Amino acid sequence: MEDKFQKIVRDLGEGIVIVNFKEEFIFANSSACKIFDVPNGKLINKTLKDFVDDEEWKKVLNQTSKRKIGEPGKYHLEINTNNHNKKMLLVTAKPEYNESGEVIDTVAVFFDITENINEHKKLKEFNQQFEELEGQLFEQAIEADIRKKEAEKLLKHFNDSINYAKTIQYSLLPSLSHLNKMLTKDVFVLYKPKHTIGGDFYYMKRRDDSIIFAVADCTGHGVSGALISMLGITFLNDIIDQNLLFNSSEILSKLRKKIKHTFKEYGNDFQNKNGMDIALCIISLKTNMMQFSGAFNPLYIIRNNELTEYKATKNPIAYYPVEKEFESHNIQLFKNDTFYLFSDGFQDQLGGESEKKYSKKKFREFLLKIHKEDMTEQKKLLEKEFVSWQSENDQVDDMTVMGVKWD
Amino acid sequence: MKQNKTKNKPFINLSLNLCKIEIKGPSYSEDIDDIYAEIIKWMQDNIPKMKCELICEFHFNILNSISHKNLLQIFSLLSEFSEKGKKMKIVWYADKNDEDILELADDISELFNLQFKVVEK
Repeated sequence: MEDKFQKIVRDLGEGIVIVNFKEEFIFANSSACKIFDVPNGKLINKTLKDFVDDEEWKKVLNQTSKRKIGEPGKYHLEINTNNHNKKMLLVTAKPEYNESGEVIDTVAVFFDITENINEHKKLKEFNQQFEELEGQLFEQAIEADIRKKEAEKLLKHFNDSINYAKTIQYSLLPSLSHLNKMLTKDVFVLYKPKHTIGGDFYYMKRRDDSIIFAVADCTGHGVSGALISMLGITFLNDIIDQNLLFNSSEILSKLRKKIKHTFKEYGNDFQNKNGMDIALCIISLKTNMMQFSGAFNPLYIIRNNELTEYKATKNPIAYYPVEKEFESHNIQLFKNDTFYLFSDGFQDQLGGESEKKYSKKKFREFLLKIHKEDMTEQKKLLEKEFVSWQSENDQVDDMTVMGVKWD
Repeated sequence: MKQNKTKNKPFINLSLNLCKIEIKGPSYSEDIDDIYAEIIKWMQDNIPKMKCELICEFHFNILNSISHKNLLQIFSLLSEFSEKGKKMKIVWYADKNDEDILELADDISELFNLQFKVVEK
């Protein structure tokens, strides 16, 4: 029985030693020898001092003093083995008594927990890194949140500003009821800027028995176009208010002079591309005579199912290398004439199956097809045609079409 | 200077060695004015250095008004160089039945003393 017990003790995975109060090994099982990197049986008579540094030695002495007064203990001990490996042991030690109840030595059971400790260290380092990273991420998230809020604030500010600009721009464009009242005719305006605000504008003013109206397309679109459109509307008002007798070509050349003068103050000619293309008409309500002048933008009249194009002068309301006088066309209007002023946004729209320009030709054909409908219907049909041609494509430019039925 | 075509910017190929200026495609991006400013600067710097006959090829479809005005500046510059004796060949391509682009060729030939060929494709 005794032998069997000793065999178990010898072969256990845990190291078991008995150490006297001089810290000499008086018993060591094979696992203990293995942990200390000592051949089996060779730990006997060696002292623990050979395997520990000063710091750990103090710990050992401190522990032994507890054994002497009968206290058990559990502690970590770092040893330098016979092969100079540093190992961490978890030691459970108990005092051993003789028959008369005196403490004679220490029995200690220990495990090599070096690997556990290393794992633990690694885990701890990993945890630390993770916590650091988490902290950084948290800070970044806070920063991103601040930036996002700033961006949202800027965007809101920008949108508020643009939307207010839109309110201003639209308030300078005559309303449909205003147009109908002024003309006493059926009118539609399809006005679709590429962005919230745009460089297209339409204009109508009544002077006694005459109506002056126009559709213009300013250079640029968005904010830049809208700024020039403000100038266009202001200058047209100035010109028309200050001149008692006028004709369409005269209005355009006065407008060109003002635009050129305004921009010339601050740059050379060619840098001043700023300006507009425009189609402008004056109708005498007494005589039904219409006068038309265009700067690049023509006028279409449909009469008896035939479309006539009144060509514009090939000059913009802006600086141009070869300046021409604007021509004016005089046209007698008849009942059921339908006429259209427009910017090039409709005909230039990319789309269709092969992503082509809508084209002037198609635009004329479409107007011919719909010109007999009432004006509200025509507007709807044009809008539908535009949207279906555009499909998934971006809108190329600001787009305006004004139609009038002379009934 | 070389730039690939995008949905709103033309293909641009400017070569000093080949004495070539090619601008082809749509021209209506938001930054198109800056692109033409670069082209015009390149022309001013490089055309005087060219040793061979200058070949210009243009093929537009959509030109916004800013591009239109820049194009006039390009032709104005070409006619200046032509008057100074620079030999050049200009080809103006247009899509078949593209009225605007064909009309623009007429306008340009009216405005500047330059010989150029119009080819409908």
